[in-house]
Amino acid sequence: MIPNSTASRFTRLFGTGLLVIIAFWLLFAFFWSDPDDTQGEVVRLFYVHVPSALGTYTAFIVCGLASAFYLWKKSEFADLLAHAAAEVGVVFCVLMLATGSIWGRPTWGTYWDWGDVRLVTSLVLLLLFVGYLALRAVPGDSGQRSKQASIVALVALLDIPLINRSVEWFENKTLHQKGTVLLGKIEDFNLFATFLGVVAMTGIMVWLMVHRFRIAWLRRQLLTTGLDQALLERRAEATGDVGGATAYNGFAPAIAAALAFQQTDIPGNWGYIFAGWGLSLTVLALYGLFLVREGRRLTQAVPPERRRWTTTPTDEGSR
Amino acid sequence: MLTEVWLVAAKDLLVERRSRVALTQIAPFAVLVLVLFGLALGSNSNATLREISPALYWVTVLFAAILAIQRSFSVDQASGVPDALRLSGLTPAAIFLGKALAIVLQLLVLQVVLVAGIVVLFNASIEDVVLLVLAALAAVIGIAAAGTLYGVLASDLAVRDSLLPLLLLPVLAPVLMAATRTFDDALGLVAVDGWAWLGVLGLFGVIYLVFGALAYGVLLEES
Repeated sequence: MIPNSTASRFTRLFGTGLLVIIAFWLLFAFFWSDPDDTQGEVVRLFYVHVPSALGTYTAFIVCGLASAFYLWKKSEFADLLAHAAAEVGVVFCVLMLATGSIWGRPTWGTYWDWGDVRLVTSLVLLLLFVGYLALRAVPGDSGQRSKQASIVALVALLDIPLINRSVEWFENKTLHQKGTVLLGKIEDFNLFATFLGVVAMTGIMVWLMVHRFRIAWLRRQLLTTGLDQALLERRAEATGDVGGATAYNGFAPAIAAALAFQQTDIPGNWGYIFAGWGLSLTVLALYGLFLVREGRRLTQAVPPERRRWTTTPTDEGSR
Repeated sequence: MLTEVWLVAAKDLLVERRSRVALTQIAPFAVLVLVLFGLALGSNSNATLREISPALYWVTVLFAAILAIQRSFSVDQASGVPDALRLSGLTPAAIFLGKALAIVLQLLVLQVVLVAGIVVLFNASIEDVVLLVLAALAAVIGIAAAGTLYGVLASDLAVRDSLLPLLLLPVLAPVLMAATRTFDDALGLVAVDGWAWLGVLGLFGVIYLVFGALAYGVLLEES
């Protein structure tokens, strides 16, 4: 069967299962778990913040490992995986910082603190990978670009412990609780809500990465078939940059809504909770939609015989 | 190996001696940035400026270093030097160290100008000369090593001028933090252990130098 979108039987089944898990995650996060003794209702932001943090680090580590593997074996698969993981990682990193800041306001009384190791490290990490994506976006010889990007990814990962140590020595304080889960402070259902969050967010990350990988693969096919330019011109004539514009216009109301929520002082800090969750779910949904649309568009542009992202033993682009 | 390093460094320094771009453009630019900080903070800010002079100093150094690195690679690119270096049979690590050495020497001269700048303009007083000099040296080595690696990486791109700062500045974040802390001590502003931070700076320098020397070959080879 020749695929007509970046979906496959696996991603459809996986996605459906994921929706069920997400539903339970929301139920546990909002209805079936009690407020925390010290934090109150705000603890519900924990169930989206911690999983997005784990997702961020997983994605960037995948990117680093894939980059190292690419430099070693020049595998096109690893190259595209590194790119896909970096982009998904950046989305998760933004969510981690946003939910963390929104959580920090009612709990610590501030959105940001320059002395907190994890905050500053995460912000620099985000900037490092924004640079990585900017480099990836520069057109040109793909083999050379992949090598450059791999080096940048490795330097970024090398930099993380350095920054982390520096900030720790710099201030030697953190607002973050250390090992909350290990200390057994969190009670059964709260712990389970966090656990479900980790499962759900990891699933979302994998689903996004699979689609992003296939898009990267299709883009490379387009480049090698020389259709890209013609296609871009035709699309620009017809509708402009549909996917990108919709996605970015979509973010604006989400951010506005999040900001509006923070202004209103809802009892129990529900404003912060809805802002954090709303922003996360909106961004993930919009990013997912964007990937699906982009995947559809690209699959139609690539000749049928080159659409199979599952068979990629080609050495094109990685000479 | 050392001969090779010096050959590459000497070439870059000769270009600078003949063009004097670092001296007539980059150094004045760095002083200009200091002046801008002073102007922006206003007439009642003498105490503030003195207090935060280490931070302003190192941000200025980073901006000036970006210019020096861009200059180093745009000169090469314009005259086909990358191909010539590839054909020359020099080891990539030697090319890396040579270019980094030339940038280190240029940035050290810049440091002298800038230290004079913060002493005169921001009223900073040097309490520990040895620590100050060593910090400047160690930080510059880290900046030049990371800068040379990223400079060659971006050198063949049409968007080099805008991409290089975006890629390089976050990587230099730890150098900025450590160098500022060391200067805090050397200028007697904050009671921190400047010597410990100097060690951290040295460590960054070594890590970037080793990684750069290893990775340079990958970036130089034709794809």
